Amino acid sequence: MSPARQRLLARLGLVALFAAGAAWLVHFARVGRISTDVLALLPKDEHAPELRLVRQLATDVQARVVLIALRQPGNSPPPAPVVAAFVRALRQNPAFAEVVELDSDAAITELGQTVFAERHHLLLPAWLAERQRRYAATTPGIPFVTWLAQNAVADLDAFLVRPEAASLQTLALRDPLLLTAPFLQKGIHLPDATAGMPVARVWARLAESPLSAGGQEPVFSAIAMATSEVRKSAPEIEVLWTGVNRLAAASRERIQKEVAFLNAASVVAVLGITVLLLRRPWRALHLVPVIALSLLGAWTSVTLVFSEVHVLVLVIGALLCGVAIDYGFYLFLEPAAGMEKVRRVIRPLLASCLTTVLGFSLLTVSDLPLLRQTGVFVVGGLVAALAGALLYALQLREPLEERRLAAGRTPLRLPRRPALIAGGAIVLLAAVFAGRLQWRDDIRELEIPAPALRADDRRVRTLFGESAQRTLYLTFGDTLTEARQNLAVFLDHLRAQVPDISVASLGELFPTAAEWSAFPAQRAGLADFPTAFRAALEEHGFESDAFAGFFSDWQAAERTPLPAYDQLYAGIDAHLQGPLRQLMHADGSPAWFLTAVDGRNDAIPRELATFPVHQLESLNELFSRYRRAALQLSLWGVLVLIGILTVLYRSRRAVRIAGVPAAACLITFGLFGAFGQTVNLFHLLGAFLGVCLAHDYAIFTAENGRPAAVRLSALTTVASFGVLSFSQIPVIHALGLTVSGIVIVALAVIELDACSRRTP
Amino acid sequence: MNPLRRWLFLLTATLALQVAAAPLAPPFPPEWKSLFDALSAPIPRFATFEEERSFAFKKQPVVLQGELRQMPGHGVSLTYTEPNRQTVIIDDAGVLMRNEHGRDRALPARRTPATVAHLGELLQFDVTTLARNFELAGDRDGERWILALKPLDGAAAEATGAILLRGHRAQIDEIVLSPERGPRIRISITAVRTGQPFAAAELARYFR
Repeated sequence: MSPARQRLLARLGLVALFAAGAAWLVHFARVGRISTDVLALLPKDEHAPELRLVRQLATDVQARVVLIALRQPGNSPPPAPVVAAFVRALRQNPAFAEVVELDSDAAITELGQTVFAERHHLLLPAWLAERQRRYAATTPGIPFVTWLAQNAVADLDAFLVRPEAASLQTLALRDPLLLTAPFLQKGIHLPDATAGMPVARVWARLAESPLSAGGQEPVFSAIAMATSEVRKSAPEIEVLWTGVNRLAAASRERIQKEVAFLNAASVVAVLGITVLLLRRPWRALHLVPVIALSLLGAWTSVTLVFSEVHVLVLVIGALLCGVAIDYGFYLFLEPAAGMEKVRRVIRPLLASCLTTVLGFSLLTVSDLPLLRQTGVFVVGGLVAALAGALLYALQLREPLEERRLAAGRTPLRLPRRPALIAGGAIVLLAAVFAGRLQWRDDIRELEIPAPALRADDRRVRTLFGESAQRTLYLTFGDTLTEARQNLAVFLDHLRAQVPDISVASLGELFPTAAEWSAFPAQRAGLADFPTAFRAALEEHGFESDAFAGFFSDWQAAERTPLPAYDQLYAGIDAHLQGPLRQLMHADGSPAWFLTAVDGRNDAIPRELATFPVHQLESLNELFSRYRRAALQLSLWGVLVLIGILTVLYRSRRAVRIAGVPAAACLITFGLFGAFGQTVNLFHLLGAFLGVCLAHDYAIFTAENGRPAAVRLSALTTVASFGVLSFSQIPVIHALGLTVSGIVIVALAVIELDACSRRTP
Repeated sequence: MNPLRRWLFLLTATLALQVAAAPLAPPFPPEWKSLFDALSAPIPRFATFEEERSFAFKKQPVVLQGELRQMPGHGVSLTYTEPNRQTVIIDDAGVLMRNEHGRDRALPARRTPATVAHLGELLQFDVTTLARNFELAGDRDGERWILALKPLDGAAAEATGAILLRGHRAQIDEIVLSPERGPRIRISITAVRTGQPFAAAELARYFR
């Protein structure tokens, strides 16, 4: 085939690749999604149920909540009409699905009225079961109904000397069995430590996901409009609010700004190196199509495989430029034209590309979506970069030319044996320091820092009574029946440890399935209870006629057919508003109940199907597990690399090649250990990328013997990744620091190795 | 004094007050103002008390005994010693109940039952707040005085009803609350000791 025809075909190939990739991305822009949610980086099908539930709780339930605090100068909360106007304005806006004024007792009153009306179905079964247990344990020698009546009156007598009895006389008249009194005393509301705070608090649930466009700008403007509305009558009102959408929008803006700046700085740094090391540096523009095709290939492959891609993958992907440019340098600096140019470097090029591709392919089997997406992104990008570099190389009639500075031999001469011993000692020392590395697995490393918003968030949450003095526990089960039974066991466990522990759980409103099954027979056996109870009341000095309301309610309940077990929950669920709705999940599997307990008691046996909802700790534990999994995968990747090298280059040469990335990685992590740099999953990911790059340089040095291509590649990579290490975004900082560290050490090892080889 | 005679006395006193009592409204006459200032003086107070709760459905009143502590900046603490030991603390943050094991259960200010809130205002004699919810009338006989507080709205009527305060000099001897929707409560206060600050341990034990 003539060179002209080769060029034409190659050009057509390039155009076809660009067109196909661009067409797909245009389509993805319409149907796909770029996520900024930290939790999207964690797998949806997490194996551990408690971590799966924490994730569900954080993404589906809590993420849609916006907390708003209204206050005014002075020590009094804003006037009720002002708060009502604010709430009304939000309710009228379609951006919100539900808006509840927390300082109004409407929600709790509605629930209280429903529970009171249904008390003979909801609370009586458990009350009866408990008394039957006590009766069986005491064997008092009188019929159960008589004992029950005496016992209930004794409890009522004891209740009247409690401080709260003075305000519950009306309740006691209708409910002398005191079925509802425990709930009125301890409350079934969310943690509330806001006593004395002069604020009005509004809880709102978004209509759309806080990470979608509909969950951000429309919400921001709705709050701004409601604020302006109330400021017409109360100009000094201050509105503080927080929500995941606010943080997500800030993250996206920050990423966009920082990535744009870092990319520009990287390009300037790479250009600087190019100008310094290339003759006619403007010819470096020939590298642009290779980088562009690499990024296009990476974007196309990751969006083809995943319908939702996290923005961090794209940020990490920007680093692919550093790798893609290498292939261009290796090919375009080769002093030949057309197929001859390709033929000369195809072996090391294929060896380095395919080993890197194989290494990153291993990430695609990770459980962590971030790693899977990064694996696909890098593999797609590398293959596209290689294809682009090969096709574009056929277009070049003249090679790029390096300056003497890049091509020259280092004047330094080192004696071989002492150099090897010194190198070995350095690697050993590095291994010692690397052993001191501190791993820090914190999910917050994935977040984009927004200190002002975080401070606002803490301030508002404090106003909403979130307190470290109270622990939330989540008890779950595959079915509602199982979850309620698990809750009963958990509460028994707590009360066995601390008998008068302060516990609040919506789940206690409902009987267990066993109590509900036994209830019809128990109720049938209580036909004589009203008579016995009336007699016991008189005997203890009560006016039994005063309890006429109770006796008529009792008769009415006896005539009412019992609903199905699930219906008990559905009946209450319909009356739950705002945050109360988040206290249980009775509709679907797994079902769960939240329980608020004063103080912390983390030693919960696993069989209780209950865990404390310290969300951050739970997610950090998850993050830590994925870091260990990624480490294992990386080690497997390195073994694959070494295996391929051994096949391609036989043992001695393979060891020399593999020694460069190994030494570079060890020395870099040794330096991290020595300087107290804590490391996480992203340093590990950066190390994997760095090792692949170092391995490329080692192959090219061993195969091609042209130091200019390796120096240019390495120095441009160090320049671009070095810039990224100054990023304020923890993930980008970690990647930049690790990759630039490993690459610069690898280059130093290669250069020093070359110096020691030239010793006569 | 047996309960029947005590009630008869109170009834007579209330009726007499309706006839003889002069309405009191800010600005208060000097003799009343000096009494109110003395009652609301920010000084530590200790007393014992007996509380009778007359529930509509109970033939005999329920009798409780306890100790009352009042400390400026800390609110009022009622420690029931008989028949059960329980402490009720009423302060700016709301109501806190402390059981015999020292375990606390708090109700924020906005959830404080109105009866308890008004009782706190009475014991600390926050006359400005009281005057917002009640119409005041009073009568004096030498060192002895009697005050009647008539609720101005339905909420106060439900929570406390008409309140009768009886005392001598700068000391409240008896408080009677007659809420529409609760038990009639009579609190007799004795062994009053004022001006002696509470030790730190006592403050921690009896206040928030």
